[in-house]
Amino acid sequence: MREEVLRLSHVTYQEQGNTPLRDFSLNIFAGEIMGLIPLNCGHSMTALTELLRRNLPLQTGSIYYREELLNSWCAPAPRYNQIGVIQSDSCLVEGLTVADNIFVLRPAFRTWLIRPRILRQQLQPVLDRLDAGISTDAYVGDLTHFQRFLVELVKALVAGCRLVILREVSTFISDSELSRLHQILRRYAKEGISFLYLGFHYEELARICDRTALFSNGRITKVLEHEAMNLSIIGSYDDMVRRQLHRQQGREERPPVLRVEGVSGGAAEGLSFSVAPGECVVLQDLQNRVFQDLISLFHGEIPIEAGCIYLDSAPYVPGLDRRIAVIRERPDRSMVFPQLSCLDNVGITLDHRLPELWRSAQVQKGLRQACAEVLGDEVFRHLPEQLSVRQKYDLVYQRVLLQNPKVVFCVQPFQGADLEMRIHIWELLEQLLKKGIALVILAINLADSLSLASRLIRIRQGAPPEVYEQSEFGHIPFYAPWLNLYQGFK
Amino acid sequence: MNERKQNPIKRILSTRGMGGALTAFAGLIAIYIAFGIINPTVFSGQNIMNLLRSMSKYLLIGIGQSYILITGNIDLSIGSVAGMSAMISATLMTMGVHPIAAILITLACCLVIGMLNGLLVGKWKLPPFIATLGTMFVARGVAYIVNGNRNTDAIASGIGKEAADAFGNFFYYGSTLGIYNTFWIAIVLFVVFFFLLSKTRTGRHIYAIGSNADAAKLSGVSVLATTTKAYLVSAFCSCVVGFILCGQAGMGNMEAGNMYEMYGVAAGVIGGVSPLGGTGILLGTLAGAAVWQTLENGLNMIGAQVGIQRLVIGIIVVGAVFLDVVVRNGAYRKKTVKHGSAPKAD
Repeated sequence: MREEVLRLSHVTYQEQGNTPLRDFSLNIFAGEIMGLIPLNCGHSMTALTELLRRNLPLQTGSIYYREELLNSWCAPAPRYNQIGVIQSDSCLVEGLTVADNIFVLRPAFRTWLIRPRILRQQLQPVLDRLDAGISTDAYVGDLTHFQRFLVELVKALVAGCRLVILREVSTFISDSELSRLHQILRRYAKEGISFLYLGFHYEELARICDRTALFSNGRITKVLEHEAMNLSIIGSYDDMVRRQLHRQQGREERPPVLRVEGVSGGAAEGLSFSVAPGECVVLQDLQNRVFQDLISLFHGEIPIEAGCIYLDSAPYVPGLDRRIAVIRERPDRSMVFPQLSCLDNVGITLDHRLPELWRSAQVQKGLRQACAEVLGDEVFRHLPEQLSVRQKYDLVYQRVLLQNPKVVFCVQPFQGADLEMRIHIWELLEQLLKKGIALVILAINLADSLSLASRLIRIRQGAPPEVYEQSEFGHIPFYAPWLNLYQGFK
Repeated sequence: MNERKQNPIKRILSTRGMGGALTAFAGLIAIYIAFGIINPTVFSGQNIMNLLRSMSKYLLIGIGQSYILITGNIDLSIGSVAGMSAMISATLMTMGVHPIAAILITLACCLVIGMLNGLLVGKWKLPPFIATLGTMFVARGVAYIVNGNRNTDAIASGIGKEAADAFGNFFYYGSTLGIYNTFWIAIVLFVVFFFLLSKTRTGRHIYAIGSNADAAKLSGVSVLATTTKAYLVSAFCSCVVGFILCGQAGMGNMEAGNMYEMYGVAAGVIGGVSPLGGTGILLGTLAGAAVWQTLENGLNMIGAQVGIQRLVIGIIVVGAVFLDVVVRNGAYRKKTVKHGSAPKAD
């Protein structure tokens, strides 16, 4: 009989008036990689992670970890469980070495005096086994994202965790590293370590998970064995991709509004691409190193060392230019100004179009009425912090639509969004395209972005970029979701 | 790819903060030689002894402030705690309390201020600038109140000339192996706190919360306990400086230690301790304190006006911080070029 590592039995958990988990049941066996996909309740992932890590009080149900009852209904446990969590917010301290992070920064480390030689001797064989070129004395700040991920994994295992939660892994490591990671996970799984793999991308989980649970309205609605995982499960999403492909087919060719020609600066080297009004280009960064610097180049924070940028057929002078807009990942958190009113949030980039906006109550009233038709009037009766995630996304995209830029850079637009939200973000991006705005999606994970794209450009350090037109998507020589839909599509 | 096996010297040189410390030492040598060429008296044995004794106060203050800076905080109460220490110990001794008892009582009072700072910043999350600004006034207030708003009489009036001389000799005027005791005290404490910071769990926790407090918390590090420990070290060092000031004057001065908190910041920052937290080593603070004192001493010896002295020292402090910011930005840029920047996830 297989050893059960974790069991959540009819768990109902409430926080701040919400019920992120409702009659939630799940079990994970030793050596199993269990997937979990939230269909419409992305925020529940955070609740589940915190619950497993900190034993927060439950309304009903119970949680067993390695056959020990963890939770109490009355108060959180004073200690953290031995369950590792790896997510984009790293738990590592950049200013300390790998050995310090793994051994010293953990609650069970009681030794007062640190002996680096002994730590080195104990740790180096473990790191060598991963074959990722990690030294015990390396500072974490000097490691790549993939190496940091592996250090976190080793840290969890050294701390005695038998279950490791991996959250949205593909948002911070690239596709090629993901394949390597899967091999490593599989190896540890054979040794009895269990993994709970949380993600929004069905196709990514289908590649690695032994079982995958679909999670809707706080409940597990379906558990799929590895063999049963195929794309027909998410048929409505499939249909959207098809519709988008047909829509793009009818798009007329227009001259590019933005041309980037051999631009170097920061981490970008000889970057070239162009994008036309109403067109979407996806830049996939295979090593996760260019995004921030590319935006900094456009904002003039990093000097352009070589090459030229043309916007609207004229040389572009880097700086803060309203013709270029940037939507960061998770805009509900990164792009909303919580201390400003919702009207201020919408109109903050409108000064070039409505210079009277902050002086004239009439202009403000007009703006509010115009926005209320799209966002709903109730949005303006609340503070930004009181809005739902969906409303915050609407607020940010509405701001960009009103700003009416020529080009929008969207950094990982689908990061952290559940299936329902992904569909909504898709619609928002379509609105930008319909308005004739050129869209450049900066992605690590191709899952959703590819279906909006007219062109895919894959960037890799020290190699020329690979460019694929939409007609070639069906035959691209690497793994990407929805490829079956492009095959035979001209 | 990280190099797997490094020789020990390479490993020491690659320690975070070593660059800043070595730069400060290089600067120290250059400044010292430059002043020596202008006025050869700078090289005299007596001047070196005086220099070492004078820099000891800055070194001790610098150690305390460096601990705090590495945690990403600041302690503005250091100077006032030193003044409070001088006044309490002197008042007790003028009342006839035995010097050792006076030292212990004073130490307890100073540690209370350190504990209070730790709680205000670590537990109640007050901005460290404001919290320690408050305790700065509290400590200075105590220094005033303790002897009824006036400086104390000579401590010899309470404990007798012999005991007063012993106290003064132990902390300031006496020497061992030809070097003033003040320097020995500073060096012993430097070694102890250097060891604590670089070789112990507590030391790693101090760096961890300065580098990334959230990650440290998630790693099971108690931010409250670590912050409090750092403030206790700071209070302890200030207290010892108070004894030195008391020993030097042979009495308690209400204004003792005035502005010392800023000297502490300067010593740390010149030595490469980052005011942004997470980086720096006490070796740098040693160099920083030496640079500071050598500048003061050298400018005095060549007859520079006080205004010029302040001006030069101010420029050097700003230059050191500027260097830190440039180095940090350069390192970040180098890192992103090498590895790429993280996708910002809120």
